[in-house]
Amino acid sequence: MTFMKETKLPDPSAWDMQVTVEDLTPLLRQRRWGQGSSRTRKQNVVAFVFLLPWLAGLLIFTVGPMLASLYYSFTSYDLLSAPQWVGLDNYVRMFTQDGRYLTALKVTFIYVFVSVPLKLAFSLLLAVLLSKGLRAVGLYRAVYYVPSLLGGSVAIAILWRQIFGIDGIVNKGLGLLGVNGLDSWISSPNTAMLTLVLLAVWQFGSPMLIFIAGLKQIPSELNDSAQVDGAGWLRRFFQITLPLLTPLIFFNLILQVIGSFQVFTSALIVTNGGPADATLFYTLYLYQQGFGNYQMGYAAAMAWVLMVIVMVFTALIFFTSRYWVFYQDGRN
Amino acid sequence: MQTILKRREFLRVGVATVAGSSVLGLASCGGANSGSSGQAVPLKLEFWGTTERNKRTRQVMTLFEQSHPSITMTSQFTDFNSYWTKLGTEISGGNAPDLLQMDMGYIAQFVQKGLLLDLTKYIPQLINLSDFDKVLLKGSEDNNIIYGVPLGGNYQAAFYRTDLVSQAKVGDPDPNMTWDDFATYAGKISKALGKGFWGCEDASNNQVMFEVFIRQHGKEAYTDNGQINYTRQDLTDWWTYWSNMRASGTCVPASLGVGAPLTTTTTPPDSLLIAGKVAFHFDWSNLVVAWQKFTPHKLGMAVFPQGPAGSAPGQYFKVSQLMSISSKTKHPDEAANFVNFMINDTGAIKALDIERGIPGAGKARGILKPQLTPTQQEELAYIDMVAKYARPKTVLDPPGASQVTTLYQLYASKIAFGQLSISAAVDQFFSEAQKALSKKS
Repeated sequence: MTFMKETKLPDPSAWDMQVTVEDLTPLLRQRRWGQGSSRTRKQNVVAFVFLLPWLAGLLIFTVGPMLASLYYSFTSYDLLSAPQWVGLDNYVRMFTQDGRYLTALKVTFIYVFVSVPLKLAFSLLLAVLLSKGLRAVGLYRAVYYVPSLLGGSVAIAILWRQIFGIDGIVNKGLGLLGVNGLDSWISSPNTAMLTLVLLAVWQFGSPMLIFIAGLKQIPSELNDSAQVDGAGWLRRFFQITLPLLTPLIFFNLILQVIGSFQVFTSALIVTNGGPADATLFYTLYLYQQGFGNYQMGYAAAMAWVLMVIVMVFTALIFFTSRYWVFYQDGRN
Repeated sequence: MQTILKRREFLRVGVATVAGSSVLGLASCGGANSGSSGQAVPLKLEFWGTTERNKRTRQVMTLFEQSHPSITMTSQFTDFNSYWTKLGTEISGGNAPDLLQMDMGYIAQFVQKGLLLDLTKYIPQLINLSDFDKVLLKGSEDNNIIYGVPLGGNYQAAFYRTDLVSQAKVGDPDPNMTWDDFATYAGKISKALGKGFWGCEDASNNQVMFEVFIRQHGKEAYTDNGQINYTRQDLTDWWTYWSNMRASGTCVPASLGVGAPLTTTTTPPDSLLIAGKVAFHFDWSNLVVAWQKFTPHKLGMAVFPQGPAGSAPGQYFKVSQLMSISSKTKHPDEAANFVNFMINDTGAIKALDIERGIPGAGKARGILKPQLTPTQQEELAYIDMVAKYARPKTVLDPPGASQVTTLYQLYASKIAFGQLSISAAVDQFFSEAQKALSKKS
C-alpha cells in the first residue's frame, strides 16, 4: 500500500478537454461589442466579415429552408401548384390513416435500438485492442477507419447487395462450412434488416477513434496499481476503463442515435425499403412521399416529427447522463 | 434528414449545372459562325434516359441549332425516378424547362395543373403529323387534346431464352396460349430444366401485366374519373394464379422474385433471365435490344398469355415518351419547331434511331427500316405481329396511380412471403388504394 501512496495522480486539468463558461467570462468581458478602442472595434468588424459567408450559408441554406418546411408541413403541396393550407391534417393523417408510416416508424426504431449499441460495443472493443502497443498500430487504425469513410457511399451499398445475395460471398462461405441452400439475405423480410445493421456496425471507425483518444487519457497509474492489487483484465476494464470512458460513450451515443435515425443511403440502394417494407426506414419513406409521390407537405410534416423524435431521445440521454456519466473532476 | 436530402439535391444541381454549361459552350460555338443578328433564343430541354440517349439527343440539338442559328439549346438528363424529382423541384421553383419529356403515367397530373401547352394550335403549321401513326397519336391524347408528340411506341412483350426453351423441348410459345396453358407450358420448362431453374418470373407484383389481364376482361384499370375499375375478384384471381405458380415451382420463389430488389428484374446484368435461371421475363418491346447485348443466347419475343375464349385483347401500344412543351415557356413557337424537327428531320431521325421505341412518323420508319440490326428487325416484326392481340388504351392513369402501384407491389410481396392471406391482402390493398386515389395531393 505504500507504493500506492507514492503514485502521483496527474493534474486533472491537463487531460480535461472541457472548457467552462467561467473560463471564458474574462475574455468575453474584454471583447464586449461597441466598447474599447477603435482598434478593437475594427477587429470586430473584420471578424464579422470573415464570419459572413458562414452566417449567410446558415441563414440561406439551413434556417430559411427549415422555416419553409415548417410552413409546408401545414399545407397540401404537390410541387406542381401552390401549397394550400390544411392545418394539422398532415400530422393527423400520419398517425391515424397511414399504415406504412407506422411501419416506417417501427422499422426505424428497431434499427436504432439494435445497431447503435452493437456499433458502440464493437468500436469500443477494437479501440481497446488497438490502444495496446501493437507493431504498426498506426496502419491498423487507418485500415479500420476506412469503412467509415466508404460506408455511406453508394458503391459500398451495391457491394453489400452482392455480398449478401443468393450467390454472394456469405452464402458461398457458409456453403464451405456445410450450410447450403440459403436464400438471399437481402431479399427475405426476416434477414434484410440484419444486413443493414451489419453495414452500420461495419462503419465503426469514427467512434473507435474517439474511444482510442479517450483510452489514451486514462492514467496508466490507475491500471498499474489495480493490477498490483490483483485486479484481473476484465475487472480493470469494468471498474476503471469503462467508468472513465463514460463521457465519450455519452458523446458517441448521442451522435450515433442522431445519425441512425436519419439512415437513408443504405436502405435506398441495398433494399429500397423492401422486401415487403421490412426496411422501410423513416427517411426513405419521407423521400418517397415527398419526391416520388409529390406530397411535399406530408413529407415536411414527417421531417418535423422526426426532428421532435430525435430531440426527445437526445434530451432523454442528456437527462439520464447524470446517473451514468462519470467525470474525473467530480463535476456532474 | 435535412442534410442528406439537401446534399443530394445540391450535388444534383451542381452536376446539372456543369453539364448544362458545357452544352451551352458547344451551342455558342455553333451559333458563332452563323453570323446571325438579333437576340438568341434559349431553349432548355429535359429528359430521362441513358447516356446513349443523351448522345443521340445532343446530336439532334446540334443539327437543330445549325438550321436555326437564332436558337441556342441546353439540355439535362437523368434517370427516370430522379427525373420527376428534379422536374417537380424545378417547376415549384419557377424554372420549368421549355421542352420536357413526358410519360403517360404522369401526363394527366401535369395537364390537370395546367403545366403543359396545348399543341393543337401548332398542328399542322409548325408540327407536321400528316404521316404520323394514328394509333400511337390517339393513345397519347388527354381528353382528345394533344399535349405532347409521341417519340416512340412499345408493346408489352415476353422475352424468352430460346436455348432454354429448346432444351426443355416444349416448342416455341403459341401466341394463342391462355393463362392456364401458359402455366402448364412454363411448368414443363421448370420440370425439364430441374432444380434451380424456373419457367418464368413471378409477375404477381408486375403492374403492367396485371393491367393487360384486366383489359382482357374488356375494361380498363381505371375509370374516367380516376377510380379503380377492377373488382376484388379480379385481383383475387390474379394473385391466386401467381400463388399457384409459386407453389408448383413454375415461377421463381418469393426471395428471388418479389423480395429481390427491383434492379434484379429491371437491369439485365443482374437478372435471372440473363443468368439463365428463368426462361421467361416480361418487359417492353424496345428493351429487347438492350437485353440481347448481355447474352450470346438468342432472346425470343412472345405476346402475353390470353384470356379464355371470347375475352378482349389486352395488350396496348404504349407511348414510350412524349415531347411536351411547358405552358410557362416564353418561346412556344421555337419549341414547337424543335418538336417537329425531332420527328420529321432526316438527320434527327437517323440520330435518334429507334432508341426511344418505334417512331410514329411514316417517314422515319421508311428511313430507319433498311439500317436496322437483326435484333431491331425482330422487335419490328414482333410489333407487327402483336397488333392483333392489342387494343388501344382509352383511359389515362390518374394522379395517384403511382402510389397505387407501390401498394400493389407491397401487398403482392406480403402474400408471397406468407405474411397475409390473399383475401386479407386484397381487402387492405383496396382500402389503402382508394385512400390514395381520393386524396387531393
